[in-house]
Amino acid sequence: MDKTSQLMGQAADRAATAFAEMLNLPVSIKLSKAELVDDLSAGFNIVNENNNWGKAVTLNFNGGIGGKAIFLLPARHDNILLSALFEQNPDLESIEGDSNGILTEIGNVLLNVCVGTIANHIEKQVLYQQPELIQQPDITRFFEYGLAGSPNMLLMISTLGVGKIEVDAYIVLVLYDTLQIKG
Amino acid sequence: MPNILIVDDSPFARNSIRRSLEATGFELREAASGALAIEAARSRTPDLVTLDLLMPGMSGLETLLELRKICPETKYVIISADIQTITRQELADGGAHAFLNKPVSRSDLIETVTRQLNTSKNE
Repeated sequence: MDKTSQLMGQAADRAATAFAEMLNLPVSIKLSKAELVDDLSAGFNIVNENNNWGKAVTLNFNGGIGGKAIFLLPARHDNILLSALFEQNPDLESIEGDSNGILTEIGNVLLNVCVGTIANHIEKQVLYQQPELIQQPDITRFFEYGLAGSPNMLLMISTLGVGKIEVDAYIVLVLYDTLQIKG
Repeated sequence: MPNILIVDDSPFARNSIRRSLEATGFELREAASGALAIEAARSRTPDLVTLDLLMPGMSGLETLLELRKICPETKYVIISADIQTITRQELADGGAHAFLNKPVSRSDLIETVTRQLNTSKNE
């Protein structure tokens, strides 16, 4: 296993443990892909194989390393995830009206864990902007305009398990600085 | 009864922290921004503030530095998704007493808040 996969595996475990405690439900994040991609068009094609997106959370960051991060859920998977959360955790029922807020928090935490793990590893500090919940066509625009001038991207494809259900989740970090993760 | 000010721009996060702390019987107030937190602290000094870092307008660090001027005796617990070691050190230097990562578990939150309030009493 290369260092990138190892680091992202640690980030996924950390995020899963934290969510399990918060939701009081078993949570797992299984990574099927975690790699640093130099060929952005190839990376974009992998992401774009599933262009039927539901909702996404974006997080821009600058400082020691700059870039944009996005947490993507395919169409229907966003609703499956929210339904499962409300069904399995009665505490969340009282705030069901704020489903966008819940998705934003989940995306924000996952993206912070991924970016923060890299920043800690390379001993640099990043500053975050406000996370934002977006839908189509803004998701396509994110990739159309967000990749310009970027030398590489970090791509993670995972299965997010919450209690009895599993949904697909994509995390992409578009980096404006060349990232070298040393083992 | 200690009074706690929950500062976070996310209604979901405020709600989540409130629900975790309700069982303690502490008096809970909420502020959705740094500016509103300062206003609330001026009207009544909180014993403890839980503070998010990433908020529109004043950041959590700016809010912390401002609140420390108004309420120097208050305890400050940062609750943030930011896991960076350097950021954590910056906040400790700015006067934060404790740091919890989002999503925070109910037991960790109650334990940290109670410990900080007890430290205040013993000082």
